[in-house]
Amino acid sequence: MLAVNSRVTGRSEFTGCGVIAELVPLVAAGVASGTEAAEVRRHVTRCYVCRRRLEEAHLLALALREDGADLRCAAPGVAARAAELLADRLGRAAATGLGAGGARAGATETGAAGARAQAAEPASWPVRSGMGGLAWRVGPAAVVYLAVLAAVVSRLPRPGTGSPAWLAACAYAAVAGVAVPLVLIPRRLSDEEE
Amino acid sequence: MGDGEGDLIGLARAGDRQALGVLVERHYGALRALLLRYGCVSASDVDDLVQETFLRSFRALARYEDRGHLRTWLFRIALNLARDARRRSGLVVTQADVKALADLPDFSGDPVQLVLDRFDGAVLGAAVARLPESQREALVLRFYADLPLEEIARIVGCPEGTVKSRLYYALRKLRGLLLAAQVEETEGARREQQGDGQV
Repeated sequence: MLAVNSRVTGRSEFTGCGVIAELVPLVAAGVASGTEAAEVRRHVTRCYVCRRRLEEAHLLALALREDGADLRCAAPGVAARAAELLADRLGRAAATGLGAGGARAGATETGAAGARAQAAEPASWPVRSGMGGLAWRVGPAAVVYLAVLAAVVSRLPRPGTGSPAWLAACAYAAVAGVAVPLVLIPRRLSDEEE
Repeated sequence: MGDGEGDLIGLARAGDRQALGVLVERHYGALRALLLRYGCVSASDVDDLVQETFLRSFRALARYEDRGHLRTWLFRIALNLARDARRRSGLVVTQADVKALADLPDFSGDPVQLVLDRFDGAVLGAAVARLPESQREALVLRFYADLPLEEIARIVGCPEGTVKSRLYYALRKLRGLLLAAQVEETEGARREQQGDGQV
């Protein structure tokens, strides 16, 4: 494709049908550059084969767009019902602190269930600010983890500073106290993101 | 971001149901078309997947930075969900399929008539579903979600030139697949006729 573009930019008097044939789908998709589109337009005024090729590509693009337009039309009221259901589920997740798991558990309820969910309709759903439910889940776990780690370390015999046992204890503390949470917490964050 | 979407996002973040409803209605159709033609769910399940897309997006609204790309964000989440659903359903195009597509013959009859004959949505959908994943993504985002090139590039995380190239190959293969479907149909009809003649 890059070769085609450069051939068009530094073109000669008449661009060959081979180059035009490669540009035609891009023109039909509406993603060709101005130069490329102008080149194709110029060429097809003189070339019947490429004109038919362009017409065919435009028809295919039109068919795809019409198919897309058909599919975009959901049944009447579905989007509105989805919005209501969504507000309820967001509200429920925020109120109970269920977060991802709780919300996912209700992932299949649409239609009649959605309509039922509308019954008790509050004006808005509760909103958490900042880190949302994540801090509530990760924070206590981190505190417990560090407390257990401190308790275990305090009961260990204390080797002399600089000895191999002391270095091994330092390495263990670095891995268990820093590296493990650093690996685990971003994973939880990425789960939250997507 | 047009049509006061920034304000709507702000209201939705504060828990306003009406603002949330406007945002959902604005993007629902395009997400639905994208997921249907991506070939990962049936028509009966697509609304659940659209719902899941919105749920994931809006649950994270508190972390959303107002940079005017809500639509990009929504489609990226939808695409990730679609990829997962497709992988789970085992509908993966193999390398052999891709090679077979490249060897398809060119149109030989009246090209305009051939394309007009292929306007049927079901045939078109089946052909789109057989495209390699990266090309199908570019195609559905362009034609079914009606997104501009730069936004598609942001969603799939590629340079615009790569998206153009994928669109080019997608359309070329789609054309070949539609021809193959027509050839198959014609041969089937001919065999049927021959069978009737022998009886």
